[in-house]
Amino acid sequence: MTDPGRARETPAVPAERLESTAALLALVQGGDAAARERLVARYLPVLRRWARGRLPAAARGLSDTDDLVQVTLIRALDHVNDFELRREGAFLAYLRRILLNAMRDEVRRSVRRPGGDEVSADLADPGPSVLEQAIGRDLVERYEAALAELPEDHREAVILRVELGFTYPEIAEALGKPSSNAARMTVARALVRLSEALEKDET
Amino acid sequence: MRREDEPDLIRTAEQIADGVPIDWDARLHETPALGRALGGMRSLESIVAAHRAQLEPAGGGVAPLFAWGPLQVLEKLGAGSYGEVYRAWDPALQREVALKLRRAPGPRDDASGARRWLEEARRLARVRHPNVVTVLGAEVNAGRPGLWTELLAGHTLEDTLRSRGPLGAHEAAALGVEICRGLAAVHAAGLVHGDLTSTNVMRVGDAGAVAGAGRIVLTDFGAAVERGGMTGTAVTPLACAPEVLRGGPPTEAADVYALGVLLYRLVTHAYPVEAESLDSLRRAHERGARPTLRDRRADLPGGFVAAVERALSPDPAARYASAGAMESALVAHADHAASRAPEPSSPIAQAAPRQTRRILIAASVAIAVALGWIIYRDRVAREPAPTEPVAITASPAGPTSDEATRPEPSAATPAQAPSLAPRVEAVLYRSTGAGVEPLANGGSIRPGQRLFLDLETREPLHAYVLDEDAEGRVFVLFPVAGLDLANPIPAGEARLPGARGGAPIDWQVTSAGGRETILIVAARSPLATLEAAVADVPRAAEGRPVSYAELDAEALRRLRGVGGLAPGVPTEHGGALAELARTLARRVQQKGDLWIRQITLENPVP
Repeated sequence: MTDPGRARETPAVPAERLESTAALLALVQGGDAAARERLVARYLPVLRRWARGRLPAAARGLSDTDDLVQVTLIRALDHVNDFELRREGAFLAYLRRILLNAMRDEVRRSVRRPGGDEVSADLADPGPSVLEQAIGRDLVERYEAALAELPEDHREAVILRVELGFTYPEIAEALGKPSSNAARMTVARALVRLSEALEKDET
Repeated sequence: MRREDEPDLIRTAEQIADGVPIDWDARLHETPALGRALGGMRSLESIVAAHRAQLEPAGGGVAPLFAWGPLQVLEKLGAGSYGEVYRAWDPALQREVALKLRRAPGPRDDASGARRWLEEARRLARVRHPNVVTVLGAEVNAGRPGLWTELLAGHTLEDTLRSRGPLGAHEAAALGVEICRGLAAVHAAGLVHGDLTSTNVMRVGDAGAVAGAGRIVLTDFGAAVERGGMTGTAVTPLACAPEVLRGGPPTEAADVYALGVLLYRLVTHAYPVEAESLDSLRRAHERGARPTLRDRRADLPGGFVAAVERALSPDPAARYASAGAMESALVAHADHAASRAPEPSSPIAQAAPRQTRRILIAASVAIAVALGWIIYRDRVAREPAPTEPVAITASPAGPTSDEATRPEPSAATPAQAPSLAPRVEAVLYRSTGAGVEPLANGGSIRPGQRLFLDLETREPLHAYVLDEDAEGRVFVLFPVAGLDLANPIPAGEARLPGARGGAPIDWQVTSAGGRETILIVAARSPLATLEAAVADVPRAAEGRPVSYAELDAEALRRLRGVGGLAPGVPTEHGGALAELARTLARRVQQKGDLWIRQITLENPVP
């Protein structure tokens, strides 16, 4: 039930890129408010789409998630100068991490009930995310663990390709690779290593 | 060579990254070296496919083939005599779905067929069970009935069989248990599956590299629902019960038969009755001659063989009366070999003689176990204090003098999903010199006191009782080796930790742990993860009776289990039990098949 990659022809971020994201980021770091807005506009749809897969499948509060993504993105940009920006891929991997944390916190808050120490409240769980429903929580957790073991550029390659649906030319730009073929090779190597790490965690 | 430099692996990873379907059997055939990397690669394939399902439609890259009612149909996945299966986008749910479109009703079809089909499909849509494919909707649009479900990324059991060969009894039984649960949910909704085969059961979320991992899902509801109640629709004859082959309607009993065929096939890669044509198949059934499972697999445990053979009885009345009954029979065999207790001689769970709680309590003063926990027995009965239990046997709730000690419902709140969880009632009792009383959450205990757990269950269960003190030291309170009660606990009422020679044994609090958190977990099958997690944890053990008067406060604080036991071993991380409880609770959320209680008791250091 897989599809031979037709969607990949479409760039994950809007095609009319008059300026590279790296250039935008540099402008944002320099305090350019307009660049900041353009960057938000560029990333927001990508990150919202990503965030929906991580939400509890039962939850349909999509607008809340969209808000959460927006707030998290804007906060991250507030701290963009604290962050040693090497490349777009690193920035997106960083955004992904803080988004995961923010969503975890949000879910925790939403399921917490008054009256505290009962097992049910303590153990309450909002149910599997869309992703977990698709492949099981165990595999999602193993995936996260395996991803954490990868070297940075490999981790970024996996996130960009698998999670955010970037095309190879986009990945080449985000990772500073010379060509889309080089980006393709980086993704493939990263996936081989990821599969190896998945096996190791299988027990 | 490092794996990331191997061209075959790189090529496979590229295809996965681009969403190109891979024929794993063929790939493995041409590249045997892939074998050792296969598990990780297939896990990777699942992960990537699941992410793609999230990405694509919203990415807008795929032009829909056509719209059908509320759905954007994206791609044809398969076709058969009954119609076609498509990948489609459901804008309301913002997710990809599988759409099964029936062929348009022909002139030979009953005019009311589509309406009846719609009713049944909607009934199926109300079945929400982890072992049943989730139906998201059913409608008739443009003259074509269609049903859409979650889009499953996984492999059928037939795939597993093809790639790995016949399975062992434990794995087959574990699969059978999951299938029984799904069937029970379907039957409870007043439906039958009608075409249960190894190609209609999927393992989702794992590549099948780990036995028992992944979600087992019933799909392709045959006769009644998905095939649209139309004439001329076929089921899989080799999996058909003889009475259905003779023209009878599909029934629950026929589903049980089909599960028997499926299990037979999983362990033999053959069908119990094989034939070249429908006629010769009917004749073979009439002759009643077929190879028994024992004939084909001499190595299988007798109980498993008996369970499968019973499901395959030609007479529907001789089969298991329900999917639940069959599950009970299989559950004793569903296990990973590593964590198995000695196999019971018969798989058919024997109902324990039903005892009343009154009797259990009356007997409770006979002997003690210890915990905390050591085991304490033998001479206790001869000690002067607890010889007169009779006074408290009148009320199951214990002494009425102190209402506050009654366990309120809130004392131990059930975890989520009670509908699927085993039905269990459990009350923790304390025996003191004065008698027996139930312990509520927040109650207090003291060294020297004896505790036992009264557990009532309607089905055989695997129970685990763990204790953690304020310093994070964990002890296994049940199961305890050497007693006559072990997992699975038979249906009925049981008193934990058990008895020896007919005399009940209690746990005894042997030291002041500050606070004891007791976790009680019950499940239909053994919990391999839990057993592994507590493998190195000290267990309640028998010790000599202890005279608490002789111990000073320091000894009480320091030693876990006086009377010859070693000091307790702190676990590496505090809160290990809480962590375990959270892990289990997640499983409750996912599968709803566990029952958990947690009781916290004060055990103040003097």
